[in-house]
Amino acid sequence: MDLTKTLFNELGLENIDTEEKEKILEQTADIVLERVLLRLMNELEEEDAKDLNELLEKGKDEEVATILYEKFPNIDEIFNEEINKFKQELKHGK
Amino acid sequence: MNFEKPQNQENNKEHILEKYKLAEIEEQIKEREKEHEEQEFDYYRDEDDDYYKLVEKANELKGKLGVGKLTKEEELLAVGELMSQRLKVMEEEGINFYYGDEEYNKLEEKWNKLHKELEGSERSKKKETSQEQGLAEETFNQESQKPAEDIVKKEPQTTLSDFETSKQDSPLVEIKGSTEKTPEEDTEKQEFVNELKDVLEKVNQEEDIPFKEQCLVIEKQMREIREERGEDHLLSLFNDPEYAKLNVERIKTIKEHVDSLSITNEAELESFLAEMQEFPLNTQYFALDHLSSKRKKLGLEEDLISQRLEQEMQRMVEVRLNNAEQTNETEKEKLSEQKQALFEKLKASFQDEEKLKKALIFGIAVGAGLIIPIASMTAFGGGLFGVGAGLSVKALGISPTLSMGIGGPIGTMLSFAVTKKIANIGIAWSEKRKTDQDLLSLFKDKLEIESPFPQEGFNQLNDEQKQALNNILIKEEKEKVIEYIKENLPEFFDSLKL
Repeated sequence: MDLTKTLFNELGLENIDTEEKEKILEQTADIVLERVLLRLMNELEEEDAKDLNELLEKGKDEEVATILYEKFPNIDEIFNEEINKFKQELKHGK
Repeated sequence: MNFEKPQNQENNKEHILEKYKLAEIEEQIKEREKEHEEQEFDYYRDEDDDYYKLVEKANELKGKLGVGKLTKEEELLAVGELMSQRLKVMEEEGINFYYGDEEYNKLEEKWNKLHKELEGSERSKKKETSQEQGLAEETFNQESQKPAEDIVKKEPQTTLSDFETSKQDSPLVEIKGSTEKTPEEDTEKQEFVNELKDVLEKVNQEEDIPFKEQCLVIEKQMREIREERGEDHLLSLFNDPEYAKLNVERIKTIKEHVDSLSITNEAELESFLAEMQEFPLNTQYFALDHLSSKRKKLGLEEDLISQRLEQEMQRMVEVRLNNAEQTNETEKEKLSEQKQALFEKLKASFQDEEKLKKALIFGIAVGAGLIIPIASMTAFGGGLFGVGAGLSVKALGISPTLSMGIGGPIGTMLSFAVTKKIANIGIAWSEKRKTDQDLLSLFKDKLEIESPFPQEGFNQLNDEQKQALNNILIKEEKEKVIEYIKENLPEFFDSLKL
């Protein structure tokens, strides 16, 4: 892994203001998070979504995490996949 | 569960760090001696104070530590601990977390390398012993473990370490259950590559097609394919060698066009940028990138062109970010009411977790994925490397949320996943009990037993019983460990007075 090659090097934006960089990263992180969640939502059954909503309303976060983890044990890789896809999209465009 | 650092664990950690330091000094000594040999150094006549200081330090450490060799597992833990320490320093000194740090990056690269080596040796060990092992269930049930194990076993690009190292260049990594290709998808991909090839060949043959038209034809083709078959399909092409070759040709054409232009002053630059506005964003990106790389050759004022090009690049990135936000919004609206509500709740809970957001941002910024930053969270919240080398990393599987210090449903899910990954490389080391002291330390931590510990009952256990106890401690929660002792080691159980 070439850690010196950051997203901003790849985009040719290494010299822009730190504030701007942070803004881009925050926005990118939100987009990636939403895409991961969209993937999870699209794969969930309607009934599961209903149950999970109820559990969250009761504050049972850990239980929700366990149920979701059983369904999506590769959650870290789903995140990594979406990060990489979106980085490519930023570079190569839509 | 108490993950505070007991004294003996702290000592173990220091011991391993010193062994690591000794190994590094010995390496430096070897390098010096090699240099001496090249310089025909005379040890009686010539002076090299630094060399003798290194030898002195090495001897001092050897006297203290004995001659035991640093194992790969210990080296991994030592590097992990140094990463945690460095992150603390970075935080204290205000070194920007987003963009990394040379020292941290070196350690991280070393960690990845060791991780990969250990994973390889673990895989071969697993192969050898898979028939013999009838071990108790893991913290998570077999069904939930399977995908993680499948990923580790996959060859070659989906192993944990390879995943970490390859993702910078690979937009799509095949993951079981998420992006596994079907034969139909393979055929579709081939069809697309063929279509694109036809367009490029046509463009190449008809030399009189103006550059702009060439770009527009290709981009239009790509856009149509994207609309018909989706973004994922198009992005997956970047992994296809044939497409990659075609893309290189396309970029080459763009570069040649830029090279053919005369851009030697500000006015010409502005005219070029204005012309570029009419091109698709994709073409603009490659054209500007190329111009940026050759600005010195052109004799353009560096600051001026850098700033101007960066402005353009930034504008393109902003357009893409806004487009992506809109697309997400449209997709979200397609979800049912229940799913939209769940989406919002999960999103809000993630965003409330500052550390998690930081990990994601760090992963995006430096391409480190999520495993390393989340594992390194210990620097900010305790756990993982911070628990001390005497305690097996696998033991962290017991209570990942506590050890990672991150919460919320998605945070906890990620903790489960990351713990599992880290644990997979710790098995060989953790399942082999080192000393009674290690076992006692693990036992006290798991059962949250404060001193004084009833040593007598423990001393009466034979080696076989101790090894079995070690295996149970590594794999099971406190309650199951107690059940096991009650059933299998009743005298020891009585002595504990639980």
